[in-house]
Amino acid sequence: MWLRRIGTRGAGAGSRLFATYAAASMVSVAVLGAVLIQGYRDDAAGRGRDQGLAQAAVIEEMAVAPALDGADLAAGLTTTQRDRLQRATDLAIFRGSVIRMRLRSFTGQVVFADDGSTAGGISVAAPAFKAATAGSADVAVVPDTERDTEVIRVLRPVRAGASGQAIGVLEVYLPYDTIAIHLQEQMRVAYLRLGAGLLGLYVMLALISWSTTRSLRRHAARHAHEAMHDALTGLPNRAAFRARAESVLESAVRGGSRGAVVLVDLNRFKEVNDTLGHHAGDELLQIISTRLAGTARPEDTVARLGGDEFGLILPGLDAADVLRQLEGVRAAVTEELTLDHVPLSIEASFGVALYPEHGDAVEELLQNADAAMYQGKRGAHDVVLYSGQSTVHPTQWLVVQAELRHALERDELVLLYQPKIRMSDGAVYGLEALVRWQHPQRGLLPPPAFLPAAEQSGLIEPLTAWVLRRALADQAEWTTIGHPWSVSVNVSARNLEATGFPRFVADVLAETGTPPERLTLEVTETAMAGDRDTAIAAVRELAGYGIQVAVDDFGIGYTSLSQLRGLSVAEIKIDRTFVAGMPHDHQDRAIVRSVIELGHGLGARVTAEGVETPRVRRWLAEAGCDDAQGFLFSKPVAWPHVLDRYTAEDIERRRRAAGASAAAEPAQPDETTDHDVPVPQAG
Amino acid sequence: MRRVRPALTALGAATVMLVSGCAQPAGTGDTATGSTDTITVNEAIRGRLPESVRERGTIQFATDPSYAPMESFAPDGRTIIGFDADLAAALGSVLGIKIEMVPANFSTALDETAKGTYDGVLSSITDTVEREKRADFINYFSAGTAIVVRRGNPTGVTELKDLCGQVVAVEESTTQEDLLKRSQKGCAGRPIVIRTYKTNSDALLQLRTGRAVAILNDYPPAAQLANDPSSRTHYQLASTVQYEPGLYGIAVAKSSPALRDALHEALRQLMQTGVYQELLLRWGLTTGALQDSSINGAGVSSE
Repeated sequence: MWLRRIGTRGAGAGSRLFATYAAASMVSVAVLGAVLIQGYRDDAAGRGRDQGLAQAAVIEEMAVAPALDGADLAAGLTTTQRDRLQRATDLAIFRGSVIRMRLRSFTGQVVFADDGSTAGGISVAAPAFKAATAGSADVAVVPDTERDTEVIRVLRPVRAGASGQAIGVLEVYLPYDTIAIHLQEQMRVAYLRLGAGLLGLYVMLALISWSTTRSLRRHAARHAHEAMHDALTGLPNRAAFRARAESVLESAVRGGSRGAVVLVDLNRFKEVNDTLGHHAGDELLQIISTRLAGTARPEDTVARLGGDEFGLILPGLDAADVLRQLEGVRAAVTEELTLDHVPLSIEASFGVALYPEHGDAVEELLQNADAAMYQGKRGAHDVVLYSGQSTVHPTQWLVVQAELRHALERDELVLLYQPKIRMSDGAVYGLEALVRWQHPQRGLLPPPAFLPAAEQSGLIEPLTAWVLRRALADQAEWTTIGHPWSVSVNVSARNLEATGFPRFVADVLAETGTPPERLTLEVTETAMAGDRDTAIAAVRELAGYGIQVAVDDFGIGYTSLSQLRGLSVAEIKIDRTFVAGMPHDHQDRAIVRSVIELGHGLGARVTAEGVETPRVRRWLAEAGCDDAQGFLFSKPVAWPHVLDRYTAEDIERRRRAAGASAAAEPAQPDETTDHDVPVPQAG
Repeated sequence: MRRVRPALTALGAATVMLVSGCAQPAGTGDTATGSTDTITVNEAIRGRLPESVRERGTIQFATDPSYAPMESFAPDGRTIIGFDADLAAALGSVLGIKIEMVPANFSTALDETAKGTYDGVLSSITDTVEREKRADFINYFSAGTAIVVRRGNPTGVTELKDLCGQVVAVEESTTQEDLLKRSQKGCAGRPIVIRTYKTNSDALLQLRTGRAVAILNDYPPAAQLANDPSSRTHYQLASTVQYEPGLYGIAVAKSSPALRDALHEALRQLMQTGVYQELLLRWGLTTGALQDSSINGAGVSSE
């Protein structure tokens, strides 16, 4: 569509160019023609004058002067002289060689005229007459009023004899017709030639402007295409995507229609590039581009935004339609393909922002789609609809990243701990370290406020390192006062993918002199999902060092059981969603029971997250769950506060109290996540 | 037919024409003590003019303007230019009157002057004893006769006897006509065919068209014909000989001795003040200069 618009613009430019050429050449040809025609006219007039002068001289010398024979014109002519003049001129008049002839005295009196009249003739005061009286001939081409043509008028003195005495003025009119006809013929030919020349020029100019504009148009179209398209895949590029999105949104705002802006990011592209080479990466991008484009409707836009990121504009669809179509797109993209004889299944994350629900500006929609996509990358779902909540506005990420870097330097991060309670005796089994950011302006921030930004930027590695060191240092302190609690630290998939992470952990353990089995690294199930070989290998290596590995949020990810089989997982943490549903959902209870059995079967401890009521606690205890964690026991607190609640006496007292007033214990159903809970400052 | 043309050329106009329009190289006044521009009226001489002339303020000289460089028509066909015209103007300036040059028939000019049609004749007329019977002559120039033939001299004329048996054109009533008639004696049985014409130009036309083998002119116009760029391709002098040198004279009616004397005195003054010489120089005629002017000098200078 754009190309066609450029095309019509080009055609307009072509005709404009031709019009300019045509006007310019028309002007110059007109000037040339005017000069030529004027030249012909001057030439004809000049010839008329020359001819007139010559003829008049002959007439005067051969007919008039001999006939007069030295007469004094002032005295009039004798009959003889008049007869001789008449005879001399009659035939010439008859034949048309002479149109009119008068003989005049110096005072202007008409002494003789071919028609016998004594009237008429040029005024005595006329310059031509005066010139003739002064002895010189005057010639001019003048209009003949009687015949409606032009004639040559000559006035010259009549010299009567050989002595050269002037006796009067001869006024003779000679035909200009032949010269005029010749001139007209010349002009006709000149006009014809000029016209033909102009026509030829126009044809040439038209061809030139046509070819010029065609090449210009092609050039411009190529440039426009290059400017708006990705060279590798031939898809529209980011600029084109943005422009297209703007126009779609504009018409959507006008027409009240809806649709979606979708960002697509390939999940494992970097690996393909690293392992199979850039050729394979390029080929992969081309294949994915073809597949994306193949699934698009005619009104959709598919663009490559850069790297392995693609953008879709899906106009005219509501949320359900968008998700339905994207499911098809996802299926097409993830279809297995072969690169360099290696069969691959590429996954992609789709972030969806709907308009007008999630904004009607391109930038806003892109940010929201990006946020949704990022959620998808972290979560279990490939296609994520922007939820409008719980994500840090991506534009703040850059700020957050910069501030977080400072926070690490200035020690603005704090660690809170939530105890894991052993079901068998109610004692603290271990503490899970949870990071918070004591932001100088925004107050204490929970992890979702900054962890995504950290993961995006690679700050996650120093952050995790900091958490690890601090947690081990804290553990050393409680160990010193006699508590043998282990410590759990969350690590992200990025940590596991980073080369040398297990070695690093082992080194830190060695530095602090902590036995490896007293450290538990909690890894989300998603981090190990699919074929993330690097993460699996890292987990194996960690386990090899004797470090305890816990699978966090178990049950909602995609861990295949076969992977668990090969790993020496020390702990499995049942996701809070199953725990929360237990009291009223027998399916959740069945799942929890199965997971407990599975964990025990694999030789791992099983910890239930999100335990909030004594009833749930009892049920878990009966089901054989090893440990429990949740607000029922403690919110995340600075570690000395754990001491406050979990001294030996306190544990005893609480155990008794728990039995007596289970129903009175206030449930905190809204507090589904420990992250959002206000936390007292570490004291 | 012999009517006086009214209001001919103004004296000043003639002088201007002479200075600016003439083909001869114009010497300026520094060669003479006098200048044509600064001639003042000599009251003494003017006083000798007849009363009637002084009152009229104008006299008319007949002339046949077909005799360049002495007198001829200017390119306009009406103004008369030449040495004679300039001399007339200069004389007029001394006398304080206007002297008009009037085109006239040469053959009848003397008679018309005697009748009183003109006040005189100033037309390169040679003073002869015969003519002195009809008029008084104030001599002002000296010239002989030359034979003019066509360029290349196809008939091989070198002297007068070569003209025997040939057609010779001449202006009527001129000394040249007389000379030809007198030359018939030497042409035994083959007389010269003498054709006379009203003006010298008409005679020259006969030579130009080939109907005559020669014409006879006074030397100055003959030399002009042979030398002037406009005519020398057609004419040449048969020889450098000047036959029968004579004096030109201004002819005045015998009945006007006062006019004659006044003109004579005026001419002498022009000769004394150098104006005469300057005019001759202008027209290339210094070979014909006179030291002094005489009256009726024909009998004195030529046999």
